[in-house]
Amino acid sequence: MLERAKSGFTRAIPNWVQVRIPRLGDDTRFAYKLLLPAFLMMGIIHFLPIIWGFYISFVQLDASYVSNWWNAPIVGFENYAKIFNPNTIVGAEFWTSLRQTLIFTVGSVIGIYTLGLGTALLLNRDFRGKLAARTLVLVPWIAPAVVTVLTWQMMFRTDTGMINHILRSVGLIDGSFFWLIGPRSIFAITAVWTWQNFPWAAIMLYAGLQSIPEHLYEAAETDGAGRWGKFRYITMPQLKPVSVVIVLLMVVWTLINFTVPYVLLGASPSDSGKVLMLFIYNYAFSNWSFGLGAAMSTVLFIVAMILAYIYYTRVIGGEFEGGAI
Amino acid sequence: MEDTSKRILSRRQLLAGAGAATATGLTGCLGQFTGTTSQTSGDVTLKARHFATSGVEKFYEKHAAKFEEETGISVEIETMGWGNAKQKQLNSITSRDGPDVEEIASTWMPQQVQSDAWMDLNELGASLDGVYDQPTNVAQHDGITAGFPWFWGPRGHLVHQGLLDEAGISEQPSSWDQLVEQSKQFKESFPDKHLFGLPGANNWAVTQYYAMFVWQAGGKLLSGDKSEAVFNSDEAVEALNFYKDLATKHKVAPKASAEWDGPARDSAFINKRIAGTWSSLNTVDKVVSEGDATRDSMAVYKPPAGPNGQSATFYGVNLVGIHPWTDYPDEAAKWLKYLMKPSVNADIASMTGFLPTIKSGFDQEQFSGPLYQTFADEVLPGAKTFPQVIGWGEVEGTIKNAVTDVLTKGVSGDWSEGDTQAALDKAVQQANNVLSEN
Repeated sequence: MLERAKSGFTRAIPNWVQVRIPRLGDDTRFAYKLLLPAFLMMGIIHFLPIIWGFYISFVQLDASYVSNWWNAPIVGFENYAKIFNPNTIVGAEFWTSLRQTLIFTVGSVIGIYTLGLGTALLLNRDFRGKLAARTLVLVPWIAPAVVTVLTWQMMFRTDTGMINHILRSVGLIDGSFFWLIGPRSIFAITAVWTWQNFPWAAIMLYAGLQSIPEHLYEAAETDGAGRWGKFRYITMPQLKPVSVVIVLLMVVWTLINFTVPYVLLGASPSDSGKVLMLFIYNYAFSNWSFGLGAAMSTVLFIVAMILAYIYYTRVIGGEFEGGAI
Repeated sequence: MEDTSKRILSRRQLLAGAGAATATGLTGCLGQFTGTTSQTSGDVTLKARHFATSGVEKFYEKHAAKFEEETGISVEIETMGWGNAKQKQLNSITSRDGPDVEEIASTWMPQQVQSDAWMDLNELGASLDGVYDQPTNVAQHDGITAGFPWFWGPRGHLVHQGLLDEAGISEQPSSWDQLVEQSKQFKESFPDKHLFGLPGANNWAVTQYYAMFVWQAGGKLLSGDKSEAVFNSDEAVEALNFYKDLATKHKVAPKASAEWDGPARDSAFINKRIAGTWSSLNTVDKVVSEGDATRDSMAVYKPPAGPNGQSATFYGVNLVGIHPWTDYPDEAAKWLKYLMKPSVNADIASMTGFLPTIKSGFDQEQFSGPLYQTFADEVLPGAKTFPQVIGWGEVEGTIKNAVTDVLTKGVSGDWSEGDTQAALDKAVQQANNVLSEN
């Protein structure tokens, strides 16, 4: 029977198809064996949850089925229909959260890149105490996130916080602004996330600046280029590859950031600070609506992928050669 | 020619090592899914999991030993923080594995009962005779008695009596209007302090305070049969407007209270920036231990009544239940019966700073002080809690959105007439969608 099946399978393959499985050498096979435990662990820890999350986004996994999740009915795209319908509770909040997440992401990436570039350009100049400055710049990035965010929370408090005090003393505001509740909470999380991450961008860009060949600037000077001309036509193009990496990673990291909004604004912030990760967590775990939570996570994953794709195809445009780093 | 035998041997050793490490790692990961009930030397050891409330471990040190002496059954305690408790309980319910006995938060109970997380205590012969009616109603859900109400925390009107005396305020505020009047008097003596303060938009408990105002105004959250949300009634609108006006129009509370979370409110109360708040009894312990107040300098009253003369308050209750996957239901039932003794119930309440759920617990020595007796005589009769319905989490979410929206608009000056009604109408519509689905 097995033989017949085998021969049938062989007959089904046309003769012109030649499947060539490369013969692996002993060393290569041994290398794969060595890698196998790591692959197994990665599969279990990384890929299985992603596949499982994608699966349960099509399942009605709520309080009724938590204890017997294997019997949870498959509901097709019902969870997706609910989150895309602005007339449902989850749908109304999903769209608000998605909008706020995009504002948070765009604002943060612009802030991080701009501050990072400015800092990198400053660090690239020769001055006394450069090493100390370079180390100090890294402090926001290496300091424990929860501690720094809680410190920012104190600074943002309306009555006792330093931010309002400074703004009042320089005459920018009269009374006291609420930063942790209401429409300004999106500014608060964007500011803190930007502050935490600009050092990383600065160090990456500084490394990029260090690797730009000096003769390019000398040639530009010979051609009469000024400071702006050198920056525009040499520095920025040479930094393009590293900039791509920074922007891409920051977009993804910001989209999935949970710590800053959660610690700064609490579990259930005003609409303005309600980013998608926070909303997904709250909704799935407060209401035990894991199917809907998984559907929202999948949408967030797809949004991140689309943004990355657009960035690669439109902004990079295939010019990914040369340059710093 | 290179001798590869040593290299091959070391590779094999490396492979074996990697395999062993993987196996060890996986075993470690799976370890948490193995049974947690253990039997040592022929004696039963029950596993109990509780919230990390201050005093619980001390209670176990004393009573687990006593219980073991009486029955030969030992009880081991594991504590969990509120931050990860829901996740831990969910993991146990999903895997049908975990502790034998566990603490239940009342607001999570309907979902957990629906998930078959708790045994019916009636089947194990446990009785809730002598327990206050309100916690008993919480314990009995969907036809079963899911847990024994262990202790509860009705919110009283806590005040720094010394500050009020200095301001010449000698009586408790019996109504909302009187609270506002007293605030004006208080401001004359203490222009930099406030008479009262509650957590605001940055706190989940904001829904509890809103519920108190609604009940005091004579309104309800859900209809009598719990099928419909009614927290957009005239009374409910008046309640939310009063909550908002406390920090704005009436200046009874600081404007900054709109963004307070629980710790920020506690800090203001401990440092006497506010003279009064609504909280459970354990806040008194916190104020005494962290501030310069003494128990004698503090007083508790029932919360003031709303326009229709009702004084109502919110309470939360912590229960203890038995999971259906336990191998020792009878032993676990014995432990619960031990916990139900009035003296033991009084002990846990006193050690955690909450109140006993068994009425005769108040006859115990620990509860003889005036603070406790005021709670027993004045506060408890008006204590209510959230409706126990499936989907309450989502309904509560809609209430919170509406309340925080109005509070935030109030303090930022963006509120206008009709905003409160509109916010509550929207929330009710969403809540009704949830209730109709369940």
